[in-house]
Amino acid sequence: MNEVHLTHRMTKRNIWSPYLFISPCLLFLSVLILFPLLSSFLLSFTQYNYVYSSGPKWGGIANYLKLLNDQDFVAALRNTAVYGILFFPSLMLLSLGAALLLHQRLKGIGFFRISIFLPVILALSLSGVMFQWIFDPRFGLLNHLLAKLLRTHVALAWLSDERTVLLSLVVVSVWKFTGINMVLFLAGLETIPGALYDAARVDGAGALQRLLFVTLPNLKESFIMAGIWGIIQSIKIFELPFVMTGGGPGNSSLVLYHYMWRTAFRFFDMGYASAIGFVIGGLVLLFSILSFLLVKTERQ
Amino acid sequence: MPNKMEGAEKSRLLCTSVRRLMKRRSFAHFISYLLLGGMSFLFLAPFLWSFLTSFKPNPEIYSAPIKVLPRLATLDHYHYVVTGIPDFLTYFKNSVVVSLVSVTLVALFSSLAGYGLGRFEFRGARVVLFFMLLVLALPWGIFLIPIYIMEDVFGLVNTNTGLILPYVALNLPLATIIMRGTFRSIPAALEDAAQIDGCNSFQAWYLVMMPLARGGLAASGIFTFITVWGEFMFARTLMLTTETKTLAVGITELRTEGGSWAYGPLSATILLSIIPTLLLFLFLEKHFTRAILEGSLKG
Repeated sequence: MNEVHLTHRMTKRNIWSPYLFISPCLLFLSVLILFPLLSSFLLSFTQYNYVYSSGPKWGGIANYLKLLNDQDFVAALRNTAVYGILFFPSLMLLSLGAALLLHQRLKGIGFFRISIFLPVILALSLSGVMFQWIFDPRFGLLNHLLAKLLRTHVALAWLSDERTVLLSLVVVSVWKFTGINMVLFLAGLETIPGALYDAARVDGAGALQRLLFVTLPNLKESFIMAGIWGIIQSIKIFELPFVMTGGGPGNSSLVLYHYMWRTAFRFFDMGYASAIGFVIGGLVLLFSILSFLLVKTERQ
Repeated sequence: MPNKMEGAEKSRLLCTSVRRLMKRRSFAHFISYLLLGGMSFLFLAPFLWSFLTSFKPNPEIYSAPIKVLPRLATLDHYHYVVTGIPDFLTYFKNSVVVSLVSVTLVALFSSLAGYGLGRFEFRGARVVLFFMLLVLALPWGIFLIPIYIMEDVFGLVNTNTGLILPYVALNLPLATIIMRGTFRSIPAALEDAAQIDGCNSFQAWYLVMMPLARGGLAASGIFTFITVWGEFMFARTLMLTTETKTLAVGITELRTEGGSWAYGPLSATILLSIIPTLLLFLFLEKHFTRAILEGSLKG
């Protein structure tokens, strides 16, 4: 009855109203998102140097084929993968741990929550600058603390050593992003009914068993949300290596996004850069769709 | 008599079990505090380090081995940042202008579009929604190259407008989806009542729905603000002059002529740059959580 009434009223409203409401938004999206998206897709099939070429020249899939034999691209892909493999599990473990610890009734819990969340509100590029200085071999805090701890002289060049540079970037990223995933896990923990824990206690489950058989299974959705977010973050890493290392030493911290940026705005090879961009976009979409399917099968 | 004995026995048993429980509890609490304290220290250390350094005179910053606590506190670095680096104030002003205008426009357009998408059934609504979800998943870098070419053609590179326009477009999809959800959660009866009272759809949106959608507006506004305030890639690419750079880019370039960092002024600038977001965070912490939850949709 109510339903009929409502649709009746809906038809009586001016049929143009919804289009008026969405028009400013659509204008922005079509000019600055849809049009760039399509033109970038077309550009990826052209040879187009923004400084030297008179205009884009059709090149078919040449750009995409070139990627396969491009040493720098392979290095960037490898570095991004290594970074992601180190970053993702550390992020998940630390943020889950923090959320579990913070989901207790303790005095002063607000202070701990705020301090773990604080890096989230600092601009990513500035986090990079701050840590570049903390990693400084001579005046940096890290070496100083290590020296105090180990009681020897420590002068490790974290960012200019091929073996430690990616690890250092992972440390900064984990520091910066744990707060966000922690909030996602905390929200998930809030939704678990206390009765489940009581029931588990009655059945004689200890703290560890309650964690394994009540908490974690009920956090599945948070895991998926935080997981998608973490994977996308790993593929999208750009600011930190850009600011902290410039991709060096050598190519050892060159990542996909940075390689795209360099190709476009250092060498102005817009066609090739667009192709790299679409590979990154494809990777992100692939992982998003995979995780989305995971959610779907989970719900059924 | 035996009755009394039994009572005493019972209370003694109760006491010990409570005590045992308390002991285990407090041991667990002790471990929790230990871990939380350690984590908080690690997360706060870089801020504390910057804070302490910003008050140290130069000889203390560059002493070997370095000293963690300042011996002589000084405000020189802050004074130098505000009066001796004219660029810093320009960057700050640009960040404020670009962020405020972007957030305002995103708030306005997303609440209009969110209402249109959430409260009407019309042809094409699904397509628009699907497109927005797709944009959320795509990395922003894909849009950067054509936007750069377009702005170069229209002379928008190195203008505040040239940064505001893409920021508004890039933040609209998420904000609109948040607002759409917010409007859908408001009971239809309120809107019906407004229409019976003779409001047209625009008045219903403005007078009845908007005041009820403040929570969603705060969440999307905060998320947009943090994103824009800290955005690096677009700002680094599109703003190439000191007059138009924002803080997130400008500070990373405040090096001495030798190419090394001047750590004193650097730490002062970082701390000053975080003040607006910090204030927002401290006053609206509750909305922050919501902003993160809704924002995690974003890729």
